[in-house]
Amino acid sequence: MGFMFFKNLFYLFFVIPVILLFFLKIKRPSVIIDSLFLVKRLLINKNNILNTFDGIKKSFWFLLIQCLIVMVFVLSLCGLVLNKNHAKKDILVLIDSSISMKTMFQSKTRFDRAKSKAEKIIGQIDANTNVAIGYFNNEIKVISPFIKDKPVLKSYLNDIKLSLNNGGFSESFVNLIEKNVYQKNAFLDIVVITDHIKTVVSGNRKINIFYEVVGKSDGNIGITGAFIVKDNESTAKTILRVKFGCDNARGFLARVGIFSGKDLINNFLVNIPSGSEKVVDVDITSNVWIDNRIGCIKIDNIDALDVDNIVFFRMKNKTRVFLNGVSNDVKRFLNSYDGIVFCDNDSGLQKTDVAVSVNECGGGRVFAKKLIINPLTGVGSLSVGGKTDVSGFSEVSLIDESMLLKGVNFLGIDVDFVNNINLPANSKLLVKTKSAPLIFCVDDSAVKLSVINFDVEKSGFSKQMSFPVLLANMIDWLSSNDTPIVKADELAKYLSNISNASYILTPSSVKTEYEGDVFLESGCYRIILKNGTELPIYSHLLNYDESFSKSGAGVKEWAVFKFSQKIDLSKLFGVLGFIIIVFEGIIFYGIGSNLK
Amino acid sequence: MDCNIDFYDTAFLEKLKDLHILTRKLFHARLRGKRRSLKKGSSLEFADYKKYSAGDDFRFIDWNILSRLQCYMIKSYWDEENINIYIFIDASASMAFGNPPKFLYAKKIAGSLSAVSLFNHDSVGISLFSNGVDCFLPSVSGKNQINRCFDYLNKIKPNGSTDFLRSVDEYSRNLKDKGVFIIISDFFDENGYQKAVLKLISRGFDVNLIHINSKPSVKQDFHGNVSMIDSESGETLEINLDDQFIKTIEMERIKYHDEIKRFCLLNRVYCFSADTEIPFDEFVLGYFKRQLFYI
Repeated sequence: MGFMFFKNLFYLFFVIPVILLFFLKIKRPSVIIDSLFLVKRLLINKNNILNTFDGIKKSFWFLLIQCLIVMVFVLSLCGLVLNKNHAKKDILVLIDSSISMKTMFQSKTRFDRAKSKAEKIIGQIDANTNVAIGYFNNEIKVISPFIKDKPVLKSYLNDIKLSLNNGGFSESFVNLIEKNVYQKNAFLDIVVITDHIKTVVSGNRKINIFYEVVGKSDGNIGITGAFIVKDNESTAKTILRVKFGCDNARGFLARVGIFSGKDLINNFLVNIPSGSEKVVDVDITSNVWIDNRIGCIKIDNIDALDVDNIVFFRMKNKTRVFLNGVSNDVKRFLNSYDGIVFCDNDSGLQKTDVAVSVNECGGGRVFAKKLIINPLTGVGSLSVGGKTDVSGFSEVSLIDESMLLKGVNFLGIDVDFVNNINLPANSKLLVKTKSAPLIFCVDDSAVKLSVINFDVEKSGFSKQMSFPVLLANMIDWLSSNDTPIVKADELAKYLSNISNASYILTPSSVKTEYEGDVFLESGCYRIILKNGTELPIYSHLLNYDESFSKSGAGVKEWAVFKFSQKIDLSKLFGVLGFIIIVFEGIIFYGIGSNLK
Repeated sequence: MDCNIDFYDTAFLEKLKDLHILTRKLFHARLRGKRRSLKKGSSLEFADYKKYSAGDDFRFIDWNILSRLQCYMIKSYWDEENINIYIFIDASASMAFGNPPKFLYAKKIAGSLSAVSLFNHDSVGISLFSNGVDCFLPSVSGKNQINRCFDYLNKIKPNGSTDFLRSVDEYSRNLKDKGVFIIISDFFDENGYQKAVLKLISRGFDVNLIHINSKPSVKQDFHGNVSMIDSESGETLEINLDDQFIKTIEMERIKYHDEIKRFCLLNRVYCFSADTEIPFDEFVLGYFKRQLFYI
């Protein structure tokens, strides 16, 4: 395949110095000295080196083996280039058309990107190679025959539409390919263009699968969750329906805890494979959580919750404060997990699909802890996460300073929440910022949304003041500066003008208009309204991703092809040879040479 | 390598006439000389009294004692003999290195010692060894034998590897008379020199070691990765040669010499360090004297 050729040649350049290093050692100058007595004495005293090694080193057979290893190493690298089968193979280009591909990425959907990438790949393929186009979501379909005509292939490509089904590309799919597509006595390369679908391919198939990952932050961990509370009258049961979704590469294992007051009334593990969603019903009939106390979360056996992510649904009506009085245990607990979601169940949301997401954009390693109170319940919101985003707050100490949250990217505050907040007397909010983060102030009653570029330092506020005082000061400051007060439908207009913003909070007043999933992708919500319109907050994503890339976490638009074929023996020898040669080089040319 | 020496520097030889090799032991010898013997004899040095017995030379009766004590006592005197000095020169290939060559330096020392010995009516035997006794000059005495010694020294050339124990064993086994045994070598023997020295001590020799030192033969311009070849065994060793390494080798040489000295001290053996960088005449006329090898 054309796009493989040059890449392999590049690796050959690494071989040249190794070979030079290897052969140069034979031609070293000889010096006759009076006696090696002192040299040997010195070296034996210093290092107890075995003389037998010297003997082996000079052996002709050993030298021959070394040469063979070098040869195998070179040939193994050339192998992919020289393999004639590659040129003869037919290529099937499969595009992921699952719902996750609808996600926007840098102003285009992943699906669009996948298509354009497919076009690109088809353009690169040799003119004599037969190519077919297909798509997959929860099923696989090849929509074109194996042909060489590229314009026709592109027209087939345009016919592929996004599906609302979930994606999946597993062993069964591969079997399907073998049955329907794979021709006997012919080789097949499959290029899968997807957004991180975990694939298991085993057995001795003559199929190579190459992955092209589009529109996805590499190493991103995402949790998409939703919950619905139902009253089942016939059984007189109250069922909590929790919907989890994950479209990252490795899936996730979550421990879900359900609280009432101080008690953890139930907890269970949910394993969500990559690219799938799972609905879990929890019977909570016996646990009526009408409890107006402001309790703290207490988990006795924290260490036992050995999971990647943890999701808590705090079953308490109209709870406004959720982190007050958090114990040290909980603090440690929160710090020990990748992603944490706190959800308040509002009884008014019986039929509302609400999604709460955590997305830790740590670039492979989840770094920051994130806490979200579902903004759609009208409670307010606080989000902490994405330390890699330098535009965010660098440090926040909330309420009683016991909860130190680092790497805040945005602060969303519900005015109603502010008015009713019950803070201890010595409560403080410490805010430090390097730049101007985005702060929203949401007022349920007025259905107003304030969008500001708020810089604590520039605004002249004290860096350390109590939370209500800060809010009061902030609101005053907004008024004095004629800060635009906008309604929900004007959000897009403002968002397009905002720079250095990282997170967006949606107003609670529009909650009844929501339908469908709400995604959090790369730290932003995606909201689809009932009427099908989508809040165009994705324009904002562009800024976010750029800043994210610059910060080093890296968003790879076009990922490197991953070869899924089995490791062949020659490669193994090649690696082994390389290690031996490097080792030899060190021994002969470095300080190591004196250690013999 | 030209190892010939011009020993006919009369001024230098004149200076050697004043010197005298010291020994810590008394030895039996066959010829008369200037050194006190273990035997009683006819020198002027009083040794002891003994009672007169029939057959004794009555000329040695002490008449004063007879008059005072009415007792016949005979005065005895120490005898004077020469001693045998055996010079054992390392002629292995490693001795050909150095600037000046270690072997040349060794030969000069051997020549000087021979001269000193012969001037003092001592007997001198010179032997060359490498991995065995290569050749030897039987013990000679008398000033007229100096040229013979010098000629012998001029003929010999270094070759082969070093085997102390075998060489010493081979040579000392055939020696009938004990004496001063001087080993001149660089002591580069992987099997060690210690056993050989201890063997000589046990056989009653007064052993003296002269350690010929020279700077490492590796030149400074041989830097980098080199294959070092041992001149004696032909063995090679691949080394990354740099200033640091040469410095370390030099330190090791000093350390090795210290070890030899420590060994000698423990076994009552004289050890002299002969650095080839020191002018030869200065070493022979100055250093030896300071170290009480000469008087």
